[in-house]
Parts: sequence; C-alpha cells; structure tokens
Amino acid sequence: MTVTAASQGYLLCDGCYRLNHAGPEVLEPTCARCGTALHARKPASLACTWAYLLAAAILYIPANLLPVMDSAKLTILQSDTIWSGAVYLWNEGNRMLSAIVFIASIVIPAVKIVSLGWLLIAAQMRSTHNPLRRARLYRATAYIGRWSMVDIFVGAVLVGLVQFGAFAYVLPGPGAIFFAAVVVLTMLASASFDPRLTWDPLQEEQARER
Amino acid sequence: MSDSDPIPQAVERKAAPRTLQLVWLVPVAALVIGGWLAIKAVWDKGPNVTIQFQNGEGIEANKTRIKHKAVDIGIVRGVTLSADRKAVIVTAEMDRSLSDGFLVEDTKFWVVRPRIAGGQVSGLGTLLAGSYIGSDPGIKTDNVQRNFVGLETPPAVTSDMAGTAFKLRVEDLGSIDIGSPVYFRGATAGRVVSTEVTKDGKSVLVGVFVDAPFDAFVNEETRFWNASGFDLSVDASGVKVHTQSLLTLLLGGVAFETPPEGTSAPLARGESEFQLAATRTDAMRPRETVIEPYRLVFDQSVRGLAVGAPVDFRGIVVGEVRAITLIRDEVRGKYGTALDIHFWPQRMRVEGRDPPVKRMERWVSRGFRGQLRSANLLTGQMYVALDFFPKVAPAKYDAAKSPPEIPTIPGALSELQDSIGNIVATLEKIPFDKVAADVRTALQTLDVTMKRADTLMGTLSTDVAPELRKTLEQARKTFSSAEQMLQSDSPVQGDLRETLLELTKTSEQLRALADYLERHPESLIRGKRQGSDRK
Repeated sequence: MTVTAASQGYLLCDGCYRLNHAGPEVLEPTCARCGTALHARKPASLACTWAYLLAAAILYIPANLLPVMDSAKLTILQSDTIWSGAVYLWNEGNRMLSAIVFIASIVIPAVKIVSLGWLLIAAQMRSTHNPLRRARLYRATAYIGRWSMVDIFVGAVLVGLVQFGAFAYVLPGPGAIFFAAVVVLTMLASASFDPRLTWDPLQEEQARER
Repeated sequence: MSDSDPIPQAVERKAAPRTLQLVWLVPVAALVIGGWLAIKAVWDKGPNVTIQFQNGEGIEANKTRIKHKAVDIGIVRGVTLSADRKAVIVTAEMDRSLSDGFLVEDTKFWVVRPRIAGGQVSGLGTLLAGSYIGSDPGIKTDNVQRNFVGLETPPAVTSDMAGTAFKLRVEDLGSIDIGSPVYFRGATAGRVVSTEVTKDGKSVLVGVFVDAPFDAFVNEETRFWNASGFDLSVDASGVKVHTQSLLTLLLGGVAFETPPEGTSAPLARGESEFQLAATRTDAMRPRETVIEPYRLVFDQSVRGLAVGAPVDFRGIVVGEVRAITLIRDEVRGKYGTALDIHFWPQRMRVEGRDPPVKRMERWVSRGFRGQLRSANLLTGQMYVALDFFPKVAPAKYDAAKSPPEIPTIPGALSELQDSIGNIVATLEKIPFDKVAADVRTALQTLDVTMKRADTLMGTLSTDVAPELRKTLEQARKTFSSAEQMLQSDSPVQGDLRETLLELTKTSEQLRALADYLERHPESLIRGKRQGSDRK
C-alpha cells in the first residue's frame, strides 16, 4: 500500500505549512502553531468546483451571444460577438488571427468547462480508471486557463486606443463582462478542484484489495 | 526549532461545522443573471417581418437598419431571393417597443439610396454610411401584418405630413411624373405622388398631395389642369403664353384653381376624384351638373360622327355624343345607328320648371327632333342637331326606355339625297323608248310639213314676190307725190296759207261785228249810225 500523509494522520497547515498530526478522532483539527483549520483534502472541493463550473457554464451562453464590442466607423454602427468577430476576421483573410480568436475565446473556455466537468464526475463517482490521464488533463486545464483572457485584453486595448469621436470609436459590449466572468469562474473552479481526489479512490481500492 | 521536534498534535476546534455552503450562491447568481438576460432577450425580440424588394442593392444582413425618422426600429437579418427568383426577400427583426402599432397593412418600406429625381437630391448620407430601409407607419392599425412589399422609390408623402391627397383622372399623362409639383396660383402647393392606369386602361389616375395650408383651397368645384409646358393661344387680343414655372417645362406639373362662382362649395374630402384638364381654359369652363342621357336612332349612315361630337341646338352646344352603336330593330327588321347622347338641359334654361320626362314629352309633341347635320362638307364631319320642327309628323316619346329615345328626322343632306332619289325614280318611270318613237313620228311629220312649206315658199317667191314689188313701187310713187305736196314751197302749201290768212281776216271782221252788235243791238233794226261810231 502506498503510504500517504492522510492515511498516516499527517496534515499540512495551509497557512504556515507546518506539519501536524491528528488522528481520525479529531473532528475539527487546527494547526498547533498558527491555528489555521487543517484539512486532509480541500474542504468542499467538489461542491465548490461544481458551483463555479455551473456558473461558468451558464454565463458562457450570454458571453457568446451578446456583443463583446460595439464599434462605429462614421455612421456605420457595428456590434460584434466573439463568433461574428472570428467570422469577420476569417472573411477578411486574417485566417490565423481568426483561428487564434476562435480557439482562445470559444474553444478553450468550452474545453475547460467540459474537462473540469469530466474530472468532477470522475472524482464524484470515485473512478479508478486511468487516473494519470486525468492528472495530465488537470494540469493542462490549469495551464491554459489564463489564455482565455486574450479576447478581453484585445477589447480593453481597443476601447482605450480607438476613440476618435465622431469618426470611429469602440465600446465594450455587455458580452465582455460575461466573458470575463466565465474566464474567472473557470479559473476558480480549477483552483478549487483538489487533484488528490483523483487518486484517493485508487488508494481505497488498494486498501480493499489487501 | 530542530529536527528532533516532534510533529505536534493538531488542536481540536470547538466551532460548529458550517452547514451552508455560500459557494452555491455563485451559480445561483449566474443563473439569475443568465435567466434574466434570456427572458429579456425573448421579451425584447420584436416581430420578424419580411419585405419584398425588386432589388437588394445595398441591403446587407445584420448591417442594414430599418429606420423611421432616422431612428433605428429594426435590423435586417437575412436577404434571400424569392421562390421565383424575381424579387428579393428581406427578413428583418423589428424592435419590440417601437414596432408596436407600426407593422400594419399600409406601412411602407423603401430602400434609401442616393437619388436624384424630380429636381431633388436625396439620400446623400447613404453614400458613406450605406443604404438603410426607410419606413412610414400605416394608419390602418387594425390589420397587423408581417409581410410587406417594399416600394422602389421613397413615397412622396409620408403619414406625418399635413395635407390632403386627391385623385385626378386624365386620359394622357403627358410629362407628369411622380414628384411633379402642384401649383396654386404659381406657388408650389404639393406634388404628384402616384400615377396609375385604371383597370379599364382608358385613363390614368394621378394621385396628388396638396400640402396643409393649400388643401383648404380645394373644394368640390376646384379645377385641376396640366400645367406642363407652354399654353400658347392666339385670339383676337393677340398671342398669349401661359406657363407656371421653368421647372414645369422640364418636369411637368399640375395646377389648380377654384372658379369664382365655385368658392362657396364644400371642401373636398381626401381621395376625392377630379378631372385633370389639358389647359386652364378647358378646366375653367363651366361644368355640366345636370346631365340627361338620351338615345337617338337614325336610319342613315353616321359616318363622320365621332364620340364627343357636339349636340347642338341652334348653334349652341347643349350636349355631346357619348356612344355610337349599331342596333337592329327587330320590329321593322332594319338596322339603325343609335347615338347615346348626354344632354345638358341647363344650357337651354329649363332649370326648375318641370320634370325632364314631362318637359321632353311636351317638346316632342311640339316637334322636338334630332337630326344629323354636316358640320364640314369637305371633311364630312357631322354633328347632332336638336331643334323644333313644327311641320314634322307627330311622334311618340317613350320615357320608359332607358335611355329615353328622342325621335329623329332625316338629316338635311339625306333629305336632299332622298329628293334626288325620288326624282330619279320618277325619271325612271318615263317610257323613253315610246317617247323616242313618238318623237321620230313627229319629226317625220315635221319633215313633210317642211317640204310643204318649202313648196309654198317657192310659190310665194315666184308668184307673190313680183306682184309685191310692183305694189311697193306704186306705193313709193304715192309717197313721193305726197311728199311733194307737203313740201313748204309746194303750191298746195301756198294756197293753204292764203286761205288761212283769209280765214283770219274774216274771223276778225266777225269779232268786230259781234262787238258792235253787243254795244248797239238797235243797229240790227235801225242800221249803222254814221259818226256815232267812236270805236
């Protein structure tokens, strides 16, 4: 059996990183040195992740349907959603840029939500199947999360730069707020997910086998 | 601290475990916001409409706006071709709050493009900003509609303009076009908004819109005329040229005016119909208000008579010919030409006397008849004359017929033709062959007579002539003797003169004797007394 800290009753303080020992009889252990509450696993990790993920999934819809940017050239007023922006770039010949916008702003948030959801379901069902792949997926999800903000970043830059009064201006659309919320919520979700939950069922399985 | 420090025992906390997980507020909030957005989106989503255009130029999906008074009320969502590929179907999403009561039966849509027409330039802004679809809400708010047929040109009149629309009927449009101005005493008072050929194809209905202050001058007696171009007239007072403005020369136009006698007529209602006269003179001519239709049936040819030909009473036009038809009189088994006329009784000063039926009955009994007369012998034009012919045979006036029939008599020319025909017929009755034979006999007799006369003449010249000459010579001798006798120096003359002198002396002596006897009557007894004669 693989020895884990949790199975031996060792708990690391999240506040001062002091290792504490608490038997299973101690229900609410706190750090002996700094008094921070001690947890073998992130408390309510699954519930929190679920909550953030659900919120992100809900807000993903308006983020994509509402325009993220209102631009005006002379009297031509144009509102662009992320999708219409990508299509516009594609039609204009900027296929590379279009692909970047499409992947960073549409695919990555969707992939994040789906993969986190899969991780959560697997953790909830205490699946022991292929934990290594799930671990890699989690690492990837956590890594690419920040890149989703590229669209918001471009929008923010344009709003700041393109302000020529009556001739041309760019204003953020309501979709931008939702889009930013989706990105933040998925990052929160991936942060609140405890990857150790992926491995715990394996531990228990081994324990039972013995 | 050192490595030998034992791992401390965690301290148990006595706090109650948290049961409520606040983190769930996050998805709830997201759900509330998302749900609210969704509901709002559904709620705000206005009705979708389709507008059909001939041409989709300048219309782009998700870009072209629908505007009313330059305010966005919708956006084009799709541009497709109709099933028969003859038109462009524009699908548009209308704004919910603004389109309420807007999308009704007579709502108009049109594409605003740069346009130069009717002396006006419009839609220049669309050169830079692109076309948009203009709209004008309808007034028939009961009939909500979602499918529209767009106009190809902007309407000349929108619902928010104050004024009144009228219809003008004209046979030929001439240079009048949509946008042509309407003038009132030379001032621009509106414009032509539509032209439409009537269903029977016989005339054109011109829709005009008269702007607000001017529509008060249009009453039921108002006359409209075509003010396009020149109105050149030559009469006893010289040459007159009428024209409204230089613009009408190019664009055509309509003018209106109310004749002085018609100013008290009630105001004309919107969409009421007027005749559009060709000239002002035509328009201002008194109009017939009482029209009685009659029918005249002639047996003769009506060649030279046209629809619109005048009906004349002693040189005064009292009506016009409206229709000429060939009819078959089954009773008599003959063809006749029926003229349907409009009779204007007011021109004959009959107003307010008795009903038309009685009047016409009385007239017909007094010999009121229709007659075809030639207006121009060279061109053969004819007109219809109505007049009283006291000597004609009595005819019955049947007012029950529709239209009632005024009896007719043959025309002057045809009467002449008839007389000539009669003469020819009589001539034909003469037995020319017999006459010729008689004549020949007579001539032969004459020949004999002549021969006899010749013989007689021969006798005369041989026997009578010498005798005659002798007689004449003797007569001459007698005359010369007489002449000699009568000459002044002839003895007869001298004797005669002497005799006369004697006679004169004798008569003088007789007078002296008479005088004496008067003074001395006693002398007859005593004789003449000597010395007492003092005379």
